[in-house]
Amino acid sequence: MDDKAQLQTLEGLGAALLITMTVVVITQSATVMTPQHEMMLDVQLEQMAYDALTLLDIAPSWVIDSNLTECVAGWDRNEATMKHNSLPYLDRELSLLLPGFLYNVDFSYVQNGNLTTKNAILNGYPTEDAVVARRTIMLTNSTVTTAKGVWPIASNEIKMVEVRLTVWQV
Amino acid sequence: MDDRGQIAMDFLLGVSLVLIAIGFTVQFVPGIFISGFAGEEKLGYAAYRTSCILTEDPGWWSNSTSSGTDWEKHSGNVQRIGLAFDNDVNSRLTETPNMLSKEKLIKFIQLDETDVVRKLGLFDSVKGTQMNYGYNISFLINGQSVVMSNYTLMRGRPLYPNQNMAKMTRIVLLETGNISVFDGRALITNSNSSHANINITGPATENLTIQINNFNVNISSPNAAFIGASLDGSTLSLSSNYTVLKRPLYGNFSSYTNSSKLLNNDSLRIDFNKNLFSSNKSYQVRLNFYNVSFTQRSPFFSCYEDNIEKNYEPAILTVEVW
Repeated sequence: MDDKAQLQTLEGLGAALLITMTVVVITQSATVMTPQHEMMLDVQLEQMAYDALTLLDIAPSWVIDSNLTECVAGWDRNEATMKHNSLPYLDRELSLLLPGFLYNVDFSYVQNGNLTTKNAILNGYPTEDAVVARRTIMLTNSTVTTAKGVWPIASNEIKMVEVRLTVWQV
Repeated sequence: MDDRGQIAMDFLLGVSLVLIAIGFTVQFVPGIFISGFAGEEKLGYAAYRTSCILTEDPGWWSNSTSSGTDWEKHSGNVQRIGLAFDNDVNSRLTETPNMLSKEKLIKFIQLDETDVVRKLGLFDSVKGTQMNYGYNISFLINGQSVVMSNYTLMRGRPLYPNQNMAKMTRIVLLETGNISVFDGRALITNSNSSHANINITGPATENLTIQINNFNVNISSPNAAFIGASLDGSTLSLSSNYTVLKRPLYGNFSSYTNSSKLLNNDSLRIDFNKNLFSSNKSYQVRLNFYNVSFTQRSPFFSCYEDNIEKNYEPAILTVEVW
C-alpha cells in the first residue's frame, strides 16, 4: 500500500477546521460592521443635516430670532478663516441643533455669470465620511436691507443662494 | 534529491479548485454570508420609514363621504398616522414638514397599540403570521422626555440594555402650546406712564404666554427695564405667579431678573400661571416698565386673544426598532 498523500489529507482537514473555528469565533464574539450598518449611519447623519437646515428655514420668527434667509442676507461676504466665523448667530443655532458634530457652511451663488462658492463657517476640514445637505433660499433687496447685509441686489432683482452644510463626526 | 516536504500536485490542484469555488460563491451569491443579519436590514428600513412618515407627513383619514389630513379629529377612520402640522386639511401634504402639531401628538399617544403597529407597519410577516417588532418612539427636549397635557410623549417599550436595534434620530419643532406675540411699540396704555394693559378672557386651560418684541425705549435715559406685573390692580409675584425670559438680538431666551436693562430690540417672554385666570370673565394684566413708551389710545388695552400664535420648541424625535 502506498502511504504517501495521507498526511496532506489530515493537514487539509486540520486547516479547514482551524479556518471554520476562527470564522465562527470572530462572528460570535464581535459585532460585525456590515455595509448596511454604515449606510444607516450615513443616512442618519445626512437626515439630521437636512433637518437642521429645514428647521432654521421654516421656524416662525417668535421661535428662532433670525431664520436661514435672514442669516444669509446679513452676511458680510467675507470668507471665514479657521476658527473665525462670520455668522455667529447661524453658527450658534447650528451647534445647538447638531451637538457633538462638526460642520462647515458654504454659500453658492451666481455672480457676474459665474458660479461662486464661498465659505461662511469653517470648523475644520471634513473627513472622508462627511455628508452634505443643501437648501436653496431667495434673497431680495428688502431682505438684505432689513438684515443690514451687503449683497448687491437691485430692487427689481432676486438672488438664489444655495446653502451647503457639510457635517461630519470625529 | 530528497522529495519529502514537497506539495503534491494533486493537493495543490484540489486546494486551488476549492479556493476558486469559494471565491465564485462569495461573488455571485449576494447575501449568503449575511443571512443572519437580513432581519436587521429590515429594521433599519422600518426605523427610517417610521421617522420620515411621522415628521414629514400630516397623516390622512377617510370614510365613504369625506377625507382630510386632520385625522386627529376622526380617530376612528385613520388611514395614515403623521404628525406634521397642516393648515389646509384637503391638501394631502404639508408645507411645514418637521413642525409637529400638539393635537396630533396627543392623539398619537392615545391611539390603540394594534392600530399604531399596523398603520406604521411595525411588523413582519413570517410564514403568514404577524410578528410585531419591538419599538420605542420618544420626543426629547434637552435629553428629557416631553410631558404635554399630562401625557409623556413616548410610545412603545423601553429598550433593553445591549439590545441590537436600528435607530433613527430626527430634529423637529414641537408645538408646545399657544403664545400671544405683540410688537412692543403697538402695545396700548391708558396714561403717559410706562405700562401696558392686556386683556385676557378666562377661564384659561393652560399657562398663558405673552411675548413682546421691540420696545420703544426712551433714549435720553438708558436704564429701561421691566419691573413687574399686576392683575386687576393687585401686584403679582415673580416665579409663583409668572416667570420672565429675555432674548437679546441674535440670541436665545434666558432668565430675566426684574429691573435689569432692556434694549430696543430685545424680546421678553412672560409666562402666567393658568390658575390666575380660572373664572369665566375678563381679566386685565398690567405690565409695568421703566422708561419705555407705549401707544395711548382708546380702548385702553390690547387683547391677548387677537395675537395668538402656536409656539414651537426644537426637539429630538428618536425611533428605535428591534
